[in-house]
Amino acid sequence: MTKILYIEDNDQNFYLVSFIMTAKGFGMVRAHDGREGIDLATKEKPDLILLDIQLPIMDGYATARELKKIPDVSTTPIIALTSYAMAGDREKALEAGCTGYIEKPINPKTFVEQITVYLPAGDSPGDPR
Amino acid sequence: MKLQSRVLILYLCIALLVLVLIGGVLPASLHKQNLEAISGDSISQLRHIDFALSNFIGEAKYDVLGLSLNDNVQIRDDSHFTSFLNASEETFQYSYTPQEQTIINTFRDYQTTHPYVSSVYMGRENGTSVRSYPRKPTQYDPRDRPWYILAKDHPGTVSVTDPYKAVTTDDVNIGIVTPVLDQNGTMIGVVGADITLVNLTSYITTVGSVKGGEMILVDQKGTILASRDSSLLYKNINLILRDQTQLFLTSKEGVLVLNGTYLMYYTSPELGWKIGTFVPFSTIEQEINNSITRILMFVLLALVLLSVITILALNYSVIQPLTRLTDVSRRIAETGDLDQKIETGGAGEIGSLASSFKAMVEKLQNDIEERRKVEDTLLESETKNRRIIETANEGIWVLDRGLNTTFVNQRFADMLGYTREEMIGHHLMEYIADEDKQVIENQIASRRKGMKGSYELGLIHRNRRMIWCLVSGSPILDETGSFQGSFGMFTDITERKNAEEALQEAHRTLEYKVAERTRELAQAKEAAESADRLKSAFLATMSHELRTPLNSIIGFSGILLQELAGPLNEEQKKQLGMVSDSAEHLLALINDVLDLSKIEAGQLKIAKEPFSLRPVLDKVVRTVNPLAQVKHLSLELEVAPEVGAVMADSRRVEQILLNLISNSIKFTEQGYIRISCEHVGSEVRISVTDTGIGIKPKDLEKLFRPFTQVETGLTRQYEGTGLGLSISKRLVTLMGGTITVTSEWGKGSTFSFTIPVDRSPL
Repeated sequence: MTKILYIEDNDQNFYLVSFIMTAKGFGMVRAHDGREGIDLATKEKPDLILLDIQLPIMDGYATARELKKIPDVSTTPIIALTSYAMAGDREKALEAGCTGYIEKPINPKTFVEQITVYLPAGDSPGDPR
Repeated sequence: MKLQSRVLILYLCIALLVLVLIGGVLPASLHKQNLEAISGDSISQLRHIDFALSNFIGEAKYDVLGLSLNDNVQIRDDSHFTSFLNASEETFQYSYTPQEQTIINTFRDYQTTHPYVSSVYMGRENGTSVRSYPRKPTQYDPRDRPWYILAKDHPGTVSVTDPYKAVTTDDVNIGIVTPVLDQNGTMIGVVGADITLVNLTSYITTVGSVKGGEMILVDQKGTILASRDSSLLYKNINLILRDQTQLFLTSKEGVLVLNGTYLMYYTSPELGWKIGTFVPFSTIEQEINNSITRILMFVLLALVLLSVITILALNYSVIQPLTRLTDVSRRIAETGDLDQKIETGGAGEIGSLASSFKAMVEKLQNDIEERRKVEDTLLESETKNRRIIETANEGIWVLDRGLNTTFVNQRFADMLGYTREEMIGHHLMEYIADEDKQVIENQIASRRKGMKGSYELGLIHRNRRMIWCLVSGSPILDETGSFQGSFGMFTDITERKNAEEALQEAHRTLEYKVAERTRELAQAKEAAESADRLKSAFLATMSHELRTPLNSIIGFSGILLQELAGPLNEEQKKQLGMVSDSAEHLLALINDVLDLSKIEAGQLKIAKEPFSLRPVLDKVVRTVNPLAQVKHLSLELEVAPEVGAVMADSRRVEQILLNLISNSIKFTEQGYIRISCEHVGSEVRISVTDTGIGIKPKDLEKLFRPFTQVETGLTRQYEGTGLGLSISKRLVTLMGGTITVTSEWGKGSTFSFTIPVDRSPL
């Protein structure tokens, strides 16, 4: 089963994405802040990381840079999820090491497709159980 | 000095030079030449004398031979003759026989016809003797005498004896002697004739002399036979010649240099004697002097002639014409009258001088005429200028080299409150305001360099008031360009200056006010910018804060509508769809407001990079195609073949296209939407044409303003934020293009925008 780590402090947001993703057969792991996200990424070795930018303690850009330093995680796709939409947000995220960038609010109809693009080939979510 | 005198002096100098040359060089060469000439002459004359002398002696010989053949003389009988063998002066008595007397007579006749012969005589073998005249009765034997012995030794010839001393007189003679033979040829005695050396000398002197020089005759032995100095007779020549004697006796002819004289001599071929003549040195020197004198006289004469001719020629060809010219020029100088007759005849320099002089005089006449005209004009002009100067509104001030006043016009004197006379002679600096003294010094320095200048200057009025003038100064230079003074035009600008100062004061006040206002404005701008930054930050925060709840609303209503959480009834589906649509609209509104605020805050970054247009068009068409299909509208894409890459931001081009096409779909109920794309110059034009409701002309201009959805009559019939077109217009502008619209109400609209073609090399 494809494992996705979602680093997000807002419960509603996590619940929304988690609901959609698990309904489509993905396994979800949650971290509440950057520090926890780094620990879980090291421990769980997820197939993909969803990363909120506005995080307490350590923001999403710093978290992305740290994640890239972990040997087992350095090749893992990181998708930034942010409601920041000012000039340069996308560039800053890509610069920090993110693979993709999705603006909030998400579109529940197309979200899974947007994510799937970044997964390694053949790593399909599998049938829901 | 007159020309004639110069010529004379010149000739005199030449003459002196010639004389010096003649005096220095000629005597030596003349001496040699004269000596040669004289010696040649002398020898030739000596030959003549010798010829005469030889004849004389020859005749004497012939006559003596004649005597020896005389019948009376040839008498054989000795008894007829007187003998002196035993004669005594006391007892001797002459008693001539007739025969003897006949011989004596013959001898006397001979002597009479031969004046240089002193005695004719005969000696006989028996010791008797006969003479042409009586002799003292002394003891005498003719046979012992040298003449007898010589004749006896030379029978058949007539001999000439060496000089010998007579027995009875003091004479020294030479005898011409020959033997007397009888009929049988037996010698019976010797007959002879004596010539004394004194007579010989007389003869030679009579025959001729050379240049008045003394003659001398010398025999082979050197005995002097003839000389006017009788003391020399019968003496040896070595008395005179000393060590040159040998040379003299052995050479045939020549010249000997003696003390004070030359001796020129010649040897007689007939007689063997030497005939000589003494020529004193003085004779030759005299000759030389004569020659030189002659030459000098000639030279002098030639020079005198030459001088006279030259002076005459000069006088005629130069001096007279020059004098005439001089007279004419003197008359011109004295009277100033140029109407003079000038003779221009004559060739050469004088002729051309006269012609030039004439031409000059004519030129002068013309010049004077011209100058007179110019002077008239000048006078007229000066009068005019004076009037201008006097009535001029400008002050005129003229300074000399020492910067003292030489002229001011009335206007300038008035300006400073003086009379004109009061200012004359006063120094420039007396009238200059203290603070402008440096200015005027700089100006004067530049005048001295020959430069003009315009400047403002403060002058001091008589009443100590300051007068401001605009000065235009120029230097007065002489023909060599050296500074002779200065000329200045002065315009009184005191009022203007005062006005200027008032103006400047006003200006300063104004500037102060402007600065103050600027400061205020800057503060306001600062405040405004600060407010702007606040607005942007506010919008960003608002956007984020609004999105977070929207995320939940859109997300969960989506999940519910997808029935992921369980089945819904129709009414629930309808109502939940309304929630979802409203949330979507709210999100679009937020996005547009955010875009617009970003653009206006200059925060929107537009990429300018090349990309291929065709894929973008295809993608947009794919995206909007479902919307068109819902309304049964045909969606057409026409891309001209030349369209390739453009230089712009692909995401923004996409955004604009989406906006325009979705607008068209929104406002079109039937027909088609056509997207066309083509090159226009260096841009690509993309047009979206629809067959929709169109836009009224009065609304066209409002179209691109924010929040102005065109009034449709049906409130909110058409969804949209009203920000799409204004965002599109701004984006196109940012990418360097333009957006335009054409429309016909009720028929449809065409929105076109341009973006630059990619010009970078492939």
